[in-house]
Order: sequence, then C-alpha cells, then structure tokens
Amino acid sequence: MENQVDWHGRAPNREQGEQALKELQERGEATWR
Amino acid sequence: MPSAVKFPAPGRYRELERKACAIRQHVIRMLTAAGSGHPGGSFSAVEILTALYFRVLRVDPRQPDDPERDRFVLSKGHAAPALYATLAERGFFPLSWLEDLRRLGSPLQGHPDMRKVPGVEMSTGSLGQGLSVGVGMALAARLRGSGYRVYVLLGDGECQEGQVWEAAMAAAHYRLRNLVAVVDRNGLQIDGPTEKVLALEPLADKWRAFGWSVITVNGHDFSELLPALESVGYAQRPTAIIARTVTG
Amino acid sequence: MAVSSGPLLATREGYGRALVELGRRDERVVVLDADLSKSTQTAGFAREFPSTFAIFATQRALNQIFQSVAYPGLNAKIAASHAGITVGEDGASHQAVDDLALMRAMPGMTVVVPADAYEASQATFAAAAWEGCSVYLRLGRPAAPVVTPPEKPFTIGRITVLREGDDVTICACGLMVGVALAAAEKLAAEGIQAAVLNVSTLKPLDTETLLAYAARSRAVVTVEEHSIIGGRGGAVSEALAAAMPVSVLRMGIRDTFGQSGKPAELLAQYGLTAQDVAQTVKKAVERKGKKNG
Repeated sequence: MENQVDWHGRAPNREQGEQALKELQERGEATWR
Repeated sequence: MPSAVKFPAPGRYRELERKACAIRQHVIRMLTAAGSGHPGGSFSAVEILTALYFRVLRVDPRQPDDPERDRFVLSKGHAAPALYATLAERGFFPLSWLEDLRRLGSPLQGHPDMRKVPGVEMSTGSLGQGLSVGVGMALAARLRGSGYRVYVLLGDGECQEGQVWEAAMAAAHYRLRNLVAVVDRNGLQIDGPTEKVLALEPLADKWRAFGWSVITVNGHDFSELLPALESVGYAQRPTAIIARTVTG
Repeated sequence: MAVSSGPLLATREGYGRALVELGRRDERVVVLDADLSKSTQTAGFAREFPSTFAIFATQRALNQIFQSVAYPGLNAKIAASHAGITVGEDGASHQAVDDLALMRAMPGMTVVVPADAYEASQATFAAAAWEGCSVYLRLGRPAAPVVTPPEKPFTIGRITVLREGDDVTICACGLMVGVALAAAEKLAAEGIQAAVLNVSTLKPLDTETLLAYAARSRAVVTVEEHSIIGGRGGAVSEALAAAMPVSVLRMGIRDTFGQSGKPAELLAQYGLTAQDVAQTVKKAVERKGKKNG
C-alpha cells in the first residue's frame, strides 16, 4: 500500500486486509526479536 | 521527497514501535470491516499519533475533561481510524468499539465527532479548519493562565487550504508558543502527488515566513519525532514540525 | 404600540453597549472581530461573540460555522451587523439577503432578529445566557426608530404582539417592525385592523402565538429585509402550511441581489416601505374576501 495514491480513500477488501495484516505481523516480529 | 523516507530499524523505542504496529493492525481490521475509509492517510500518521499519545501528551483517559490537559486536534479528520485506534489503545474507550467504525449508530463516525468519542477534542472533517481551532485553544490557555499545550495534525494536501495560512498568521501574531502544528508530509492526495496538484514546496520556508519555528523529521522515526514534539515553547513562537512520511 | 418619535438608534449600537456591560459582568467574555470592530460596535469592548458583517459571518464562514461550531455543539454567539439592503452604498457584495435562510437551516442554531436598539441590548444578554446552543444575532447598520420599551427583558423564542387587529396578521422582524407598525396606522385609518407581530426569534419559532393570530385573522403578511425565500416568510409559511390553510403573502427581496443606494431609496426600490406593506395587506384582505364569498 505504500506510496500509492489509490489507497487514499479506498478500504481494503477481505483478501487485501488479510494480506496487509500478515505483512504487518511479519514486520512486527522482526521488531520484537 | 517522501519516497526517500525509510522506516528505521528497531531500536530504543521498542515499546512505541510495538504500539504503532498494533495500531496499524487495528486500522486494517477497522477499514476492512467498514468497507470504506482512508488507509493511506491513516497509516502515515501512526507513529506521530503513537508518539503523542504514549509519550508526549499530558492526558489521562480517566479524566478526559481535565481543564489542564494537553489538546490534540486531528485537522486531517479523514485519518480518524488511526486516531480511534490510538485512543482505544490508550484507554479512552473499549477496543470493541473499533469494529463498528462508520456503522449506523456507532460513536466512531467516519470523521471524528467530539460529542460521541471520549478523547476527541474537536469534530473535524472539512479540511483546513483544525489549525484555527488550535489557535483558539492556545489563546484560551493564555487567557486562563493555563500551561497546557496544543498539538494539531494537518495533512500536507490540507496546507493548500487558505484558512490554514490565516491561522498560521494569527498564531505567530499572538506568539502562541504553546501551539504545535505537525504536517503529515506524505506527498499524496486524492488527485495524485501534492507537487503535481498544487505544489507546496518550499513548505518549511513558508511556515518560517509566517513566523513559525520549523523542524523537519522522519515521521516514522521516534528518535526524531520525540525530541521535535517536546521542543515546544522554547522560542516566542509556534512550532511547525514537518514529518516526512509514507502512506500505507 | 406606536413607533416612538424619539431618537433613532442602530441595533448594532444596542449590541455594542450590551457587550461592554457583559464584559464587565463576566471576565470570560471574549469578542472576536475581523477588522470591523468600529463598524460592528464591538470596539467598545475585548464569551465568544464573533462579529462581522452578516454576509461574511454567514455566507463566507458557513462551512466553518457548520464544521467548527454547530456540528460539534459548541456555544458561540455570532452577532452579525449590516444585515439586509440598508447597508446602503457598499452595494450587493456587502448586503446579506440570505443569512436568515442559511442560519435557519443550520441544525443547533438559534436565530434572533431584534427590532430596535433596546431589544438588541436585551437580546445580547439573553443570547449570552442561552446555554447549550449557538445563537445567530442579526443586527442592522442604520439608526432606526425605537419600537420596544427599554429595559424590557428579551425572551428568546417568544413572539411579542405590538398591535392587535383581527383583519390581518403582519409578521415582521428587525427594521421592518417599525415599517409594519407605520403601515398598520395607515390601514386603521381605512378601517382595516392589522395585528403586528414582532417575530424576533426566527428559530425556534413561537408557533403557538403565530397560529393563534393566523387562525383569528385568516390572512398573513410577512415582511423582512431578506429574501422571500427561506427567512421569516419561509418559516411562517412552513409552520402554517403544516397546521392551517391560511394564505401567506411574503414581502422581502424577491430573489434578486442588492445594489448601491441610500438605505431609504433601497427600501423603496425593493418594495419595503409602509406604503408597500399597506398595499400588500389590502391584497391579502381582498383575497380572504374572495375565498369566503
């Protein structure tokens, strides 16, 4: 989603939402290590 | 330019970074459930909001009406999901409210409604008005002899609104050293990059010309955000923090 | 109640004096003026009374009033002077003829139009004390005749009856109250008894009093220094349409812009003199006769 104009005003659908959550969790785990 | 902004490697601010991560997750869940909303502008503001509510702002969720509390105005009201998630994490209302974002009857309206949500200082949504509200709050502090500080988060596209500059002029005129404007400089708006729609650069120069102290930081880096947010009131002038961020 | 032959006073003066008094009583009162404090009479001063010309206070700041005052339920008293065409020579760009329509349609906004300087003073105190709701206070530029007793406390939401009469009910506000009273005197000489109602609060409208007089006279004329769309005429028509089939003739600016001119000339130009009111009243009475006949 980074730096994409399209994501200014559009909500993610179920799939995109789950994808994003996965990416976040991965990044989060990197933080917590 | 914003595309050069990097998320810093995890470091001293582990707790804050975890909080920011949790808030981002809430925002995704909220927006997916709601089926509408503004992800880009919500995400770019997350570290700013985390820094404010978990470090900088003197607020107490058990006393949301304390007259001496610091004030925060989300002038870019469409980033409401990020504010809601932050306020819930901070304890102003139950996390369970978040799943009802934008639903009929929910206190979590599409744009912040101060009458419905504890912790929200002002209803916003029509861009360009939040800084004027901040000026009023900062002036009121002085009239009352109160020591509270006022923080206003603006979008960079929002700085294309003339009213922002009238407020900026007033803030400098009244020497409001208790006022901080944070500009979420993510470089994008609905119609495209800000510099293609209505160019803002040189943005820092503009704020300086209007009589503000200006600090530019990486808006995702707590080691830069925190000192900037805390540097309020050392000069006889309001402070503008230009936070370079990435949407999404 | 007749039009007093005493000195002429502008409503904005009554407001200005009340502000000074309010400031004395309560140090929390704050007045904000956009460079017009000498004109709006707030200069005599320093609770949030933003003041400027009516057209700028409403049209120009409309979204600000909505987003930052009315919608968040904040308690601001917006006192706007120089309303209507009697602003005079400055012309259309400075004459508010739709401010009442705009403020009436704003949820959570109380709309008050004092008829003279004394009422303006009293209304200022009443507005300051009006909790829980913002108030729009409409004031005028010209010095005007006094039609209410000084020191009479102002009750927001109440119509005052200034003259009794069963043949027709004239609903007026602001400067037009004096005009309506003058018209009523002319009409009395011709055997037509007109009641004159000072509808000084437009919202919330005192429908009880309005309906009582409308039921009795079965003919209503409204007159205002404002468009015939959406202001006093609009409010009265809406209330009556819901309750009883009485015809309402609306006098005001007929969906046009203002223009430069001397205030008195403009009132004549736009059909807002006592003579015009008397004529319209006769039409209303005639219409009533035709229906019953």
